[in-house]
Amino acid sequence: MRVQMIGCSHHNTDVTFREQLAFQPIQAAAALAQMRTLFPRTEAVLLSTCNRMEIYTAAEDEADCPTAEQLINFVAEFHGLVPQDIAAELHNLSGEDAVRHLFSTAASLNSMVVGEAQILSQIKQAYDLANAGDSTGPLTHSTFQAAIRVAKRVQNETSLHEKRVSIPSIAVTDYASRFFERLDDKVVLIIGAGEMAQETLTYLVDKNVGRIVIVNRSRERAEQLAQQTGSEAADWDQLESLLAEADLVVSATAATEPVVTGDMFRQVVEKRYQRPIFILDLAVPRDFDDAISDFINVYLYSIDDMQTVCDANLAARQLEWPKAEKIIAEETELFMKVLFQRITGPWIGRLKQQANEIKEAELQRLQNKLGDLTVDPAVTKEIEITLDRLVNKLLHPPLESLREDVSPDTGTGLLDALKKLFQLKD
Amino acid sequence: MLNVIAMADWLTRISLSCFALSYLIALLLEISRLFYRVSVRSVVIFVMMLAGIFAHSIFLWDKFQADFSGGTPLASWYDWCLVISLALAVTYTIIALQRVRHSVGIFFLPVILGLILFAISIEGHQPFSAQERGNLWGMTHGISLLAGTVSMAIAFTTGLMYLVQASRLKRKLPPRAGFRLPSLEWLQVCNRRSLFLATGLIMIGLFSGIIMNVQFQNKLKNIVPWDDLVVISSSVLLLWLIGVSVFEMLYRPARQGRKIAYLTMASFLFLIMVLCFVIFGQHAETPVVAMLWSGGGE
Repeated sequence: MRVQMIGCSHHNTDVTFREQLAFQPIQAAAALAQMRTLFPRTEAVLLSTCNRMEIYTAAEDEADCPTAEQLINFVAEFHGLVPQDIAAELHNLSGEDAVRHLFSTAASLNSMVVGEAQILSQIKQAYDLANAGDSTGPLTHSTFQAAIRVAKRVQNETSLHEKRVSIPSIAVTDYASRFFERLDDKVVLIIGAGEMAQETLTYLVDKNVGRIVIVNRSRERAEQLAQQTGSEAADWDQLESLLAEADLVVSATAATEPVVTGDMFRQVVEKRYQRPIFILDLAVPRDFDDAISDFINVYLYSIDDMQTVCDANLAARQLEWPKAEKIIAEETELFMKVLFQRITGPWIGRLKQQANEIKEAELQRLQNKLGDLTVDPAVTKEIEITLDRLVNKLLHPPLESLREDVSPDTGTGLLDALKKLFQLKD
Repeated sequence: MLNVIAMADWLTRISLSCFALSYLIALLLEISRLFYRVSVRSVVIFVMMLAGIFAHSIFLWDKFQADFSGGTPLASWYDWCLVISLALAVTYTIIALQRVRHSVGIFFLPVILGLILFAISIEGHQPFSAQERGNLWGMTHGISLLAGTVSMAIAFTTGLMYLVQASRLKRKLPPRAGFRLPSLEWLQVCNRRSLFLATGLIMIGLFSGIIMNVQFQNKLKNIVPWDDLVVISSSVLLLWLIGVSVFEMLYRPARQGRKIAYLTMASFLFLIMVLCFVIFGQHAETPVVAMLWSGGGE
């Protein structure tokens, strides 16, 4: 059995690298479909958010699971990159480490803003997407369902999630206040109508912003969101004129290419007469061309630029950290134990069945030999009980050893030996 | 009764070093924000500023009373520098109260202390002429220039803060613990309003000076020569300030932050230069006026 993960996150890579490897939902579905073709007996879940790209794979038989190198090649090929260019930046975890990592990520301990709730819903979405594409199986089901349960336990038993925090909340409450004294006379432009945009809007509405305009490629979605939040929706082709009007821009689209290029923004700058504009590009890949930050009075911030404030948030939650880590450690240990027991279960059943078949055959042979001799049914019953006890007594020590010894620490060596000794087959 | 007398006596012993020291301690405490956190620091700074303002006011009041008995009070560059520094100290304390988390003092307090030091350095200079002090236009000239200088100092401080904040935000530097500045928008508004106010006040000051000079010219020739360096530089300063204000009003990009902040910096330095001409060029103590002051005229 093998559970593994390859990926990268904001901890060890910057946004320029992550945006090259990001999978938008349509791309993620296509990638999972390709993986099913390439590695048919492997279960896979692909998690791609603004702060991380992680592929979880699992297989009952280790030989069926793709190696880390194969996965790196797959990711590189999918994005048209050179494997050697990305290999060093991707980390690879397997077994208990991979499970612990997933649990910590779901519990938001690995998030940029520790305690944020968004990552759990992103994990659920990634799992649902893999389910819909038939890429999951018993191992990924149990791992991801356990991750969701552990995240909820951390949420309930620690105060990490108190005072709801998220990247949009920090963006609005901390960053916007460095630029603007008040928001009730400002025009805020939201580009995109996804989850991040939705979350940002909730904070902006609380701040009593003068005018909020949502622009999205799908006008319908923008209108839905505008209706929910009491803001305005606009057509995508109005983007340039809206940028010229806006004081604050929050962009979080799922576009694979920048939606605002340097050339496009040059036209905007001319119309703005150098009026300061604060742009928060929360998308990965980024929506705004990096060159835009060179324009006078344009303050362009990407998701990585908020790292320091997020670190301060982490420090504030440091006291709750050991408590959350303890829960993760407990749950990981328990999960791995259950997982290994689950693996041995079918083989124990098969061994017992095999022994039972031998017993039945021997009993039948004895009855045939006795032929017409009248045997007291009580004696026949006693013989059958004796054989049962014999089988059970013979199997008990090896099965007990198997239950105790097959664990994340010792691996499946004893199980493999047992399969070989008793010639157990799938 | 004795207590009141003792208190009054004690108050008369307040010296310039008392409030200068209070401001200095407040500045050191503001600087210490950059290095470590202390929960009661803001309270101590506030107390220091209140103590400084109290001592500063008492000091000026005593001086006012002393001068009043012998002539026109607060009628020297020394007094003016102290009045400007008091106005700035009060302005800073009000801002600091509203913005406890912001490091406004690092920018304001050096200007306040600088003015006090400057006052000490020119303490021995002659007071203003009797004509200037007694004449309505002379008072208008002096008071508006004083208020204009205060306003320009505020414009300079907020402009400097704007440039620092804009540069930090452009370079995406995180807010350093103990060094938080007000929002760009607030700094820009303060900078702009102070500059406009300073321009208006300096304009009033200069025109009242011209009227006063014309009045004197009708009675005595060349009280202040029209080609005097101070008159020329003040006129150039006024033209510059009007130019900056018009530029700011008509050219939209100039309204946006950095340009106006840079122009404010330049305007302040220009004003300092003119004030140096005024103080060291004995503008307010021309020989003819001095002669009149000593009782030789009218």
